[in-house]
Amino acid sequence: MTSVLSILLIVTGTPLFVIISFLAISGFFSGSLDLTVFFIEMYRLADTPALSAIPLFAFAGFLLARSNAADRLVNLSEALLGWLPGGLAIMAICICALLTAFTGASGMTIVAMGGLLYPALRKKQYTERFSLGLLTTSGSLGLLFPPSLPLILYAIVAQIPVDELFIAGIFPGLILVFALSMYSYIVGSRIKTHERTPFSLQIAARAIRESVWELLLPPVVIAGIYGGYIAVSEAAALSALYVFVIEVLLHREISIRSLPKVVHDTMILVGSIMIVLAAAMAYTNYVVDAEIPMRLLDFIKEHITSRFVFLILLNVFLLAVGCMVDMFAALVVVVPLVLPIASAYEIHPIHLGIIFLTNLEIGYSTPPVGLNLFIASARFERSVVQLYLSSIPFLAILLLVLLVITYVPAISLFFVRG
Amino acid sequence: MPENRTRIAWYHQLEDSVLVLLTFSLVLLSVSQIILRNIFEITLLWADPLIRHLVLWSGLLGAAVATRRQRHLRIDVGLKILPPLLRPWAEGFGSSFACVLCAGLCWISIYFIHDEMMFSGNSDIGVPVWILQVIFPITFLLISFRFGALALKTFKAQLTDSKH
Repeated sequence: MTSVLSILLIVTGTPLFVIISFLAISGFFSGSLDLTVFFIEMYRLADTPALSAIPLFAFAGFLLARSNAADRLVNLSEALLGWLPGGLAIMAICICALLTAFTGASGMTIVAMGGLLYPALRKKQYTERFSLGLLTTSGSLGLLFPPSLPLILYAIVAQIPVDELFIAGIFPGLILVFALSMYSYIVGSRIKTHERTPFSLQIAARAIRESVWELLLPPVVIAGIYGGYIAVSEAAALSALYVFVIEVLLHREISIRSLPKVVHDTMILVGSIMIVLAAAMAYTNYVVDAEIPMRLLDFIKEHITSRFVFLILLNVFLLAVGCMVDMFAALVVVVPLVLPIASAYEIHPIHLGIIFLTNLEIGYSTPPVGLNLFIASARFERSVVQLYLSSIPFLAILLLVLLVITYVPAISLFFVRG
Repeated sequence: MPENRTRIAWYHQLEDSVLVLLTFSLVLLSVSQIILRNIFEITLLWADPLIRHLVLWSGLLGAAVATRRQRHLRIDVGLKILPPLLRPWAEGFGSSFACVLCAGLCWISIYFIHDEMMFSGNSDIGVPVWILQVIFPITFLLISFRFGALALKTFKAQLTDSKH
């Protein structure tokens, strides 16, 4: 009965927090638990240490997205990488990754950067197919870099330290960026008529001066957290203050008057995440209490004995989830189920987190229903099928890297344990 | 009716302002706490729990606003494959269900707060714990009400459409 109704609710596009709350409440009900447990669990959210990082980083991200920071970064990359074959494509990848790290994969990257980077790529003779594929798949690249919201969310749901997950994400994230950059380099060097901007120290220096303040943000945040000087939530507060000072007071690209609007927009996003997270606290309690992961595990263990096969199936499953379900939804619903199973196969929770997020990141651009494809289709006014075809080479590369990340845990765990 | 509408608009304005105010205090408090601790070596014991409760309050209030703007996270693959004729009915069903469930949650949260009033003492912030939890019934009442209104609107539009 519950499952039939849940499926009906999913099909009718009912908000996720309603479905999760329903599952939790009916679970408590059938377990004849006091229903107020729902709120006892929900209120535990107020004890989550890194909680304030979510609105604060989101606020910083919204401010950055509203300012002209992106234009300045494009200018800078052009000045620094314009001479390199594939330079523009590589910088597009880096900028998208950076922006996604700060804004989460809410499709904002494609919407914000697409208008700027697509014409620029086309002007430099990159094919339409390459440009579209690049921007579509780059829309979620950078999820593994701090301070992306999905990283924080995974840490909260899986109850592992956020800073450790932040450290773990950097190296795998860099490999993804590097792999796509290599491909862009190869494509770029094949373009014969490619006009390359010669490197000029003067122009580069000016571009650096213009965007120096934004450039300082990621290293300061990262050094602060990794150096152990500040906690993640404090880094979030400082980022919010810092971005406010540079974009509102220094560059004056966002007026004080429009600030309430920015805060308002931020909080709608944060609110929609927070209520899902709150419902997920209760849902997780139910899932654990009803020993659902254990039952799933018994079933899986009957059929799969090797860790190798389990990891393959996990990836296939997560890719499917990533291309059908919203990232935040996937995190709060699936993590509590998969985490205990994965640990039975001796997969480190942090490594699992990286596998998880890489999958979701790729799933976002995976046909038939990856969200990036639809956002890009709306943004660039192209058919979704055209975007399927454009994304294939990029997806192939990303999948290769995914395999490496999956089977070489050291890539994710090296710095964590050291 | 128009008077009613201005009243609603006025309330929305109030809600938005409270949300913005909560968020600003969240940012200010977080920043000043870092400055106080690192420069003046003062640690405010109540600041940390207060910050987390500000997140909870602004987050839940944000969710109520997200309901008004229809910006909740949802999986809309299902809706996309439904025949267009059925879509509004499906959405209306979803909204009605959300309305009922959230009303139920509001009810349960009142019991929850009643229990907390009986058995819980003061929080680290210095006020009784239950006061910090009052946001639950408020949020779910607002959300339930809004989903109800949305469902009515959806069904009404369908019925007037089919008459023509």
